[in-house]
Amino acid sequence: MDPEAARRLLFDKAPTGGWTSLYEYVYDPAPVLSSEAFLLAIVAVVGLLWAVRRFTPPVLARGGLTIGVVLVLWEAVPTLGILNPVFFPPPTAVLDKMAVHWQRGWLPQHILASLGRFSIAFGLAIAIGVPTGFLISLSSRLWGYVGSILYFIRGIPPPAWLPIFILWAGAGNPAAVFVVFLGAFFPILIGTVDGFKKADPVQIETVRTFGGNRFDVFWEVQVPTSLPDIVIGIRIGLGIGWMMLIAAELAVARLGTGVGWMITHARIWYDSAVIMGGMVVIAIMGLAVDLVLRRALARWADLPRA
Amino acid sequence: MRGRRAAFLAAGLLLAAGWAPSAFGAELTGFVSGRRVSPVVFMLAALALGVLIQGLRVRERGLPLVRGVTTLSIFLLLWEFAVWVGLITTILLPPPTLVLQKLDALWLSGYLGWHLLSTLRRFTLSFALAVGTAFPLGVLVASIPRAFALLHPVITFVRMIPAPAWAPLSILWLGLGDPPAIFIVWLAIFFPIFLNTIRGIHDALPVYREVIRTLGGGRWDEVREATVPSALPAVLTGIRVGFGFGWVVLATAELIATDSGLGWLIHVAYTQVDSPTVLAAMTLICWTGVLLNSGLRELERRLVPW
Repeated sequence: MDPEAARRLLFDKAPTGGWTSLYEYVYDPAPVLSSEAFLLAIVAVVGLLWAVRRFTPPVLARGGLTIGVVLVLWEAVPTLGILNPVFFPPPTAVLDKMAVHWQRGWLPQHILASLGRFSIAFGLAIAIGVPTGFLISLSSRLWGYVGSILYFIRGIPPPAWLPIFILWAGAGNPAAVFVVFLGAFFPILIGTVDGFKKADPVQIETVRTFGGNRFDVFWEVQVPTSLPDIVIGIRIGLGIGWMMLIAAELAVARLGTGVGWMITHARIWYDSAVIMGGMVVIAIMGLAVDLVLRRALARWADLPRA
Repeated sequence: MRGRRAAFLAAGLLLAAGWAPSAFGAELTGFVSGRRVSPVVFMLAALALGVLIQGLRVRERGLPLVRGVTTLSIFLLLWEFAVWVGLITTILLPPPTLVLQKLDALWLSGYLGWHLLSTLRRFTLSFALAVGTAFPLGVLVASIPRAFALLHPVITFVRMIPAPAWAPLSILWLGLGDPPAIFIVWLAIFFPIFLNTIRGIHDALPVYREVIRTLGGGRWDEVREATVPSALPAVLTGIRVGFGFGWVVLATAELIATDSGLGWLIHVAYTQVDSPTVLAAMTLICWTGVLLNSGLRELERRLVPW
């Protein structure tokens, strides 16, 4: 670092804003959008949606209106000085910070890390949960034997496993993946078991009458009837697993990547703009994952669209 | 029923053998006085329990409880044995006897009870707050026409942010300690109850309301006599879902934000590589959660018999 930059860092920036401005200096965020432009853009978009509301589904115009009002309030409250922008930054500040994070490649890295962890854990939960559910349903004896252990494991909230699992596997990806797996596994297992019970005895008898063996009954009757409940279990597991992913990334500080880690790291710097941006990113990722999953599972069960 | 009673009796006897000082000599009284139970005695006891239970099974076939206890005792037996012969390091996975000893010692010193009370206080407070806000707000939003349709986009978006993701921001706003923990647990419980209340009211048959109208009731009578009772089952479903979420999120919050409670105990014991205490606290969380959950179920059965 040249002496002039060091002097600026130490004497020009620090006295005006303390730690935060040091952080700003490292970040060097360039304003993406001014407050006025932001408000104008919102008014334009909402107005446009409202103008064409006859030709679009009603959700768009109504949703645009509500979200527009929320965004305008969010921008106005800190800008007018009603709340301190250090703790409650306006969306334009969030946008600036997120733009920096995106340009430097941090945000994509965090998103990919989170998605990778989540998909491995969730895939494992489906791959183990559904067959286990089938096995347990096929043999009530097995359920009697395994149920008690599963019951106790399920009774412990997944995040409470983190410390002991960190002792076993280190404070890295395995611990986070394990916690997400535990969160998603049980809803999927329970969904499978519930669905299995709904198999129609008449259909089972029919298959038997036509000379089907136990496997035919399983494959032709019991698996198809349990599919809708498996799908429900998978969607509940998605919600809980997603929550567990964020919880694990918050609690395991040594992960160093992931959107959850990003927001908890930003807290240390009092950087509420990055925290809020991260929360919005988390929400968008959740919506996207849910959408993808719903598309993928629509073949297997009738899903509600909303 | 006789088999079940006998199984309970056997379990009770085993517990009494461990806890009653004069019953089985000095060795078994270990975990009352704070000394460790001898692994040999513990394994023998677990084995005896298993054998006893299996003996009962001959008379009462297909009793899930018998099978469950059998697996549990085999599981504990193997666990103890694996540590005893040195397959697993005690630091990584302490044997059940050591965990029992920790549970006993920490409980007798009042340390565990204090943290348990702290967790319960936090949980009941946020639970009461969530029920007290979500239910009235749900009734309010559901009874104003189009209010839900307008709010829906914002609610969908906010709901996609898992409760733990609010932790950094709420710590920044409210400081470390109880307030952020209570806030995020409240948030986790709020949405299931709120949304289920709205859905329950929207799904309620309009006939009941019209009957009240016909009989000369006002708008308030309508809400009190028709809307709320018909929505109550859905509300209770929301309460049960929210209860599960809240318990998990509370564990997360205590890992991150507080300075007391069972989650905090797990975290601190982990930092001291005190894995027996970690497992003891996990066990207590498990028992408490299971007990609270069954209590809630019982309450639900009493409240909504229809």
